[in-house]
Amino acid sequence: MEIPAGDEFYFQWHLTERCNQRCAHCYHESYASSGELTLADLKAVFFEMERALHAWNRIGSFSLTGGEPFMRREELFALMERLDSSDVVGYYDILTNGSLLSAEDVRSMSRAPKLRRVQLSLEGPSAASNDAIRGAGAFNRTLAAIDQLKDEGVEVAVMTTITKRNKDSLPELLDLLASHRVDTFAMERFIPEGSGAEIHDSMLTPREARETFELVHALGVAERRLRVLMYRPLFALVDSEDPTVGAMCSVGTNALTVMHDGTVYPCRRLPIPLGHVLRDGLFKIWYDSDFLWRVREPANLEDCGSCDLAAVCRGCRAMAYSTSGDCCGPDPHCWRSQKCTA
Amino acid sequence: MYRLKPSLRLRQGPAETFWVFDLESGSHFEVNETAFEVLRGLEAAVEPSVLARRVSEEYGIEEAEVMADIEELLATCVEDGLVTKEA
Ligand code: SF4
Ligand code: SF4
Repeated sequence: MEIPAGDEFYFQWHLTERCNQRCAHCYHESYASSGELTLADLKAVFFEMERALHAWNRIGSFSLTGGEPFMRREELFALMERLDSSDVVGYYDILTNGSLLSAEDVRSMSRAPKLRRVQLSLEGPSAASNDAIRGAGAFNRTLAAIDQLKDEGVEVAVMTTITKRNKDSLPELLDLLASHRVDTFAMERFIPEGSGAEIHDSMLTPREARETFELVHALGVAERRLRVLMYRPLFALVDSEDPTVGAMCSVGTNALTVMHDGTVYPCRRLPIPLGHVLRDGLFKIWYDSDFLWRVREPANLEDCGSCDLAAVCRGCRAMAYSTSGDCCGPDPHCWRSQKCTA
Repeated sequence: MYRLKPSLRLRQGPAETFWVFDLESGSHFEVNETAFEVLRGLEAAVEPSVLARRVSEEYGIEEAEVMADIEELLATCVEDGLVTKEA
């Protein structure tokens, strides 16, 4: 069956929308975090996730995030304990800006059996390039957090949101990450949504996107110091043979995002409410959403529907939605699409 | 009179596949197109005899033969708990 696909099901779980930073490209529109779930409700959410994973016979992978998840330290560690002891959890990651980590937090994370990685973000290889997006001091705080985590043996990933401003500095950034013992690097394309809508002109052109994907692929193939993750739509355009390059957009196939108030989205970057995790339940959301069924049918996807790479790509549905207003529209950066001028 | 279990949802999936989902238990089954049409008929409160007549007219098959197939399918669905039979 096509849904859910594969052996894993991924939940991106936002514990809060509160954050101590204000990044210019953030997908959040508001940091008010109204309707945050209590710890008891968060545990009920996890029970619902476990129930779904059991019924679907899938192993769960999770990202615990926010906002800044360490704004809810107590709840975060309580959930980690639950995830660590669950038979349907394969692993989980924590996505944090790193600025609130205490030495004790890092030690606790190093002992969490199912914590795979802690993911931090850097937008460039210098304080000037990073802090222009993430705020004064963020660069040094992030590097300090990376060092602290590595000193305790925690695996670290760094994510960069690619814009016109930082696309050329990736080789330098990888050198920096390697020198700080970072384990993996991944990139996301900037999507002009949330707070990021105000810097709409930072979005890559199709030609720049193509150059960036080719550059990251070349760096990834040559890189021996850290792993460059290329499990993303469009990478298959650069190399469709290597199974570690390219991945299908997971909207409607094997992922859901649960927000701080229990609202469920198909993906955090695709803020279309599908229902409420506790009030509606995951079975109703997953099986009965017209939105998800529309996206699941390849024939509904403009350009991708007739593309032989659809099984490993399908474009980014959030990018399509943000730029065309239709989640089934074309990914504007795809250089195979007839409309592309790259 | 046959009734579809209220927690069931019927969906046509990608590539001409037909699915039954149980929103209570989370289980799901793939069914063939005929079974799907019969269950969809029940969902819309269409009597099996009316469905049999429609299929018979559309495909030029004996109505009694279609009805026998539908009855057999429904008996299996009752056994599997997808459908209840009421007096
Ligand atoms: S919509 Fe884009 S960001 Fe979301 S899962 Fe798909 S490819 Fe990833
Ligand atoms: S048409 Fe769609 S599936 Fe094909 S390469 Fe472009 S984005 Fe990917």
